[in-house]
Amino acid sequence: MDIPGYMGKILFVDLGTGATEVKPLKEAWAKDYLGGWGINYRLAYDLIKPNVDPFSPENPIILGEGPFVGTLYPGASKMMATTKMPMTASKDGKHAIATSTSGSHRFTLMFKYTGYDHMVIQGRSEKPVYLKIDDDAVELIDAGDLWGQKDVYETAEILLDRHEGFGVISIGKAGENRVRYAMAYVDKSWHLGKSGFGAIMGAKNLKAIVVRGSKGVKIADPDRFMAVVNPLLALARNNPAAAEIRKVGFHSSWDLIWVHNYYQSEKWKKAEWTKYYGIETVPNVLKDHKACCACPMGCKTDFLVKSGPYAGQEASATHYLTAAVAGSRLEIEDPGAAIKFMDKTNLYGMCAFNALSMVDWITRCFQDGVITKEQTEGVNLSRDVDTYLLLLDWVADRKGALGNAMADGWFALSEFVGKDATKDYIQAHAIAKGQESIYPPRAAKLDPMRITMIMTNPRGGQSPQGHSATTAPLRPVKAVKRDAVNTGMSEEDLGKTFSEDNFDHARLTRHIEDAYGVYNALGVCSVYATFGWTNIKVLAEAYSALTGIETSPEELKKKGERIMNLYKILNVREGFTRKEDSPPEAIFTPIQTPEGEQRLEDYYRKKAYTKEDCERLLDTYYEDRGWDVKTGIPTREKLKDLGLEEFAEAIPTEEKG
Amino acid sequence: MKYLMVDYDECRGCHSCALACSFGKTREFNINRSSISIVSFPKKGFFIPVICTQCLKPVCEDVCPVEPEKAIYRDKDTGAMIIDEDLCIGCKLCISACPIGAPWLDEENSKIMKCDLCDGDPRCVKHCNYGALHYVKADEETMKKRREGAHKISLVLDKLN
Repeated sequence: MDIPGYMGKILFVDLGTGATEVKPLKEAWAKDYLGGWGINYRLAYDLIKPNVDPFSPENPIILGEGPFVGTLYPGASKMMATTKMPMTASKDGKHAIATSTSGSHRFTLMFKYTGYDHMVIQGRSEKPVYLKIDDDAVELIDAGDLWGQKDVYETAEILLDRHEGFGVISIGKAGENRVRYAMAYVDKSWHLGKSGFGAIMGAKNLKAIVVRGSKGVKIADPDRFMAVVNPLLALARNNPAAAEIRKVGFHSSWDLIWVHNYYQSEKWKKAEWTKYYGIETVPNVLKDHKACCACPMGCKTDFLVKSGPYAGQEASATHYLTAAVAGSRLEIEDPGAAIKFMDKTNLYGMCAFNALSMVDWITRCFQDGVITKEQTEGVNLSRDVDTYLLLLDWVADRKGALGNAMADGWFALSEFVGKDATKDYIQAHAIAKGQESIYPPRAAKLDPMRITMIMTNPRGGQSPQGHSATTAPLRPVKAVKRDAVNTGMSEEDLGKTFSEDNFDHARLTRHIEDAYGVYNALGVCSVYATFGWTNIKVLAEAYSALTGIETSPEELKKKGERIMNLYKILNVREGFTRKEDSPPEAIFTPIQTPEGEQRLEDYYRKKAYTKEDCERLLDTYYEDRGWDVKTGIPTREKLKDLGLEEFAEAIPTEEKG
Repeated sequence: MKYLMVDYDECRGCHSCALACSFGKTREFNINRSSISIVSFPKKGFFIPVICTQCLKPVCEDVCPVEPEKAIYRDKDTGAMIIDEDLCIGCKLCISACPIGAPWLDEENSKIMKCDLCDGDPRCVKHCNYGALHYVKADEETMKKRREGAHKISLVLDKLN
């Protein structure tokens, strides 16, 4: 296949036998599914057998990068890691096929330049190894000196010393011990996170991947491509909000966005939280920022605590908000301590959000007498930093019944506690399909992105998937509509979705998801969509210039819809239905804060949502998608309309109610 | 005369300079085919852009064996050392001699390449997102530094008086 933007090959590596195979990327796949997670899902349909256990050698790792990756397109830095995820699950033990996404400073570029658009890693190595890919040379190297001995950072540093100029993905103890929310770390500071991708690497005895490539990305019409890229870069470089992000990371919008989107503290007023973690405190903890390749935002934050008992403590994170949320939920007044907590999760290689949430719940349970010392190795679980850190050790080491339960996710922990976290842990953000969403929907209010996070996304509660204008609170309808137009919505859909003073949240969700499908397929960071700079219109023009395949915004968006339907069908085949899309009970209990009640509401904070309201949102969403409202499964007609009829076999013949 | 000044503290490792350089010279995006490279120090957490400094006594010129006229010459306007494609025999002695690896072999085109300051409008500087690369006059930069130094001294004097 020879389409500019694509490298044209897929690499298959078998960790068990060491065998490798290179196959051409099918031109039809590039045209139908664009690349990145689109083609990852197409591969997954053939390669992930239904109902295979996530930790089985038969569950492959599918890495993919879209056609924009490797170019100067702003934010074209995303790698997609698809597999059956150990954390995303239904109560009855089904696991979802989903994708962790990550940018990076170097790995992403080096991957693309190897000449492979996708890499499939199958089987399981008998002994710990790391995978080295140097252009065409693929090698499995003994990792006996790293496994069980070196943490995430040490592994990355040792391997980058050993293999100069490479990019690296590494796991730590959490991945080795199959903690279900173990992450894999890309170039040290970026994450394939939350759903347990690191544990999948661990289950394969794969400690790390190093990659280097020498081949460049060709452009069909270079001048036309740069005519799109240059104005975008100018916007990103000159915009004052972007300048603030460059200065302090995403904390820049603390007052405008984050304190409103995350606030559900039971003890602190907003002002108190701001005193500990607000924008004024950033200089006390900030060391530096790193950027993904081709990104003018440079938002990855490195911390260095400047004073106090944790002075000298360093950590790296997507942003300081993680520390602020850990602080508010665990009532840690000292940001230094929260940064210490984050650092520990990094060194072990586990999701800080899931970890802090479990630590929060289990210490609450202990305080409330729900669990006792007999269940906690005789240790008094107080609500203090030392206890929180100790619990992280237990998770990474799988120490005792509690350590194991915490390592095995919310269902196992619920069983251990004897309560159902999705119902009884009301302070949780929203535990959906076995994992917690980053945004607390009661504080952040429901908008398309939050609907995706807590209901419709097969991945379950997760990091923001599908940024749009509504990532920021209370944007006027006009601004939301302008953004919606840019996602390539038709006049008819716009008419159905927007009124003078509001929008249909459920209907807009589909379009935001489909646009997100395009971002992830092309390899572009969706954070830009919050600003509206990179939208489907712009992407369509750039895609046409890059590949030489003339594509209209409407066509591009349709491809996004096709990808999202394939993603859904993959998980329908695993047995997921409407039942799993229902939101968790806990979020319907309001949280009492010193600033009043936080309840589940619409984006404009005017209407409270009950469980029934959310079910109605789902009705509309399915109907709008052309899916069966009763089961939440794409209909045969819809699949045919999208050219996906070959996957209709995945629809259960006796549709379950 | 302007020169390419690197502010090492500001680089965040986004590689946009190298992407822009490769695109400008080869019409493809490939940081391996660029006259500027970002070298990362993962343990320390910083990034160092490496690019030709256009030495005043260039060793690349010294070692160039082409006669009677060397295959590398200084551009009068920009001060950049430029490889004469017609004269260059591709011996790679300049690659061996340069202490920072500025010249490089472009295997695809069988050419020795190096930074030519893009005729006085360097693409890497235009595409630097973080203010790490500047194309500035040496004397102005010197005076700027001296003013900054003087300012610091003035603060000390202020305290003493």
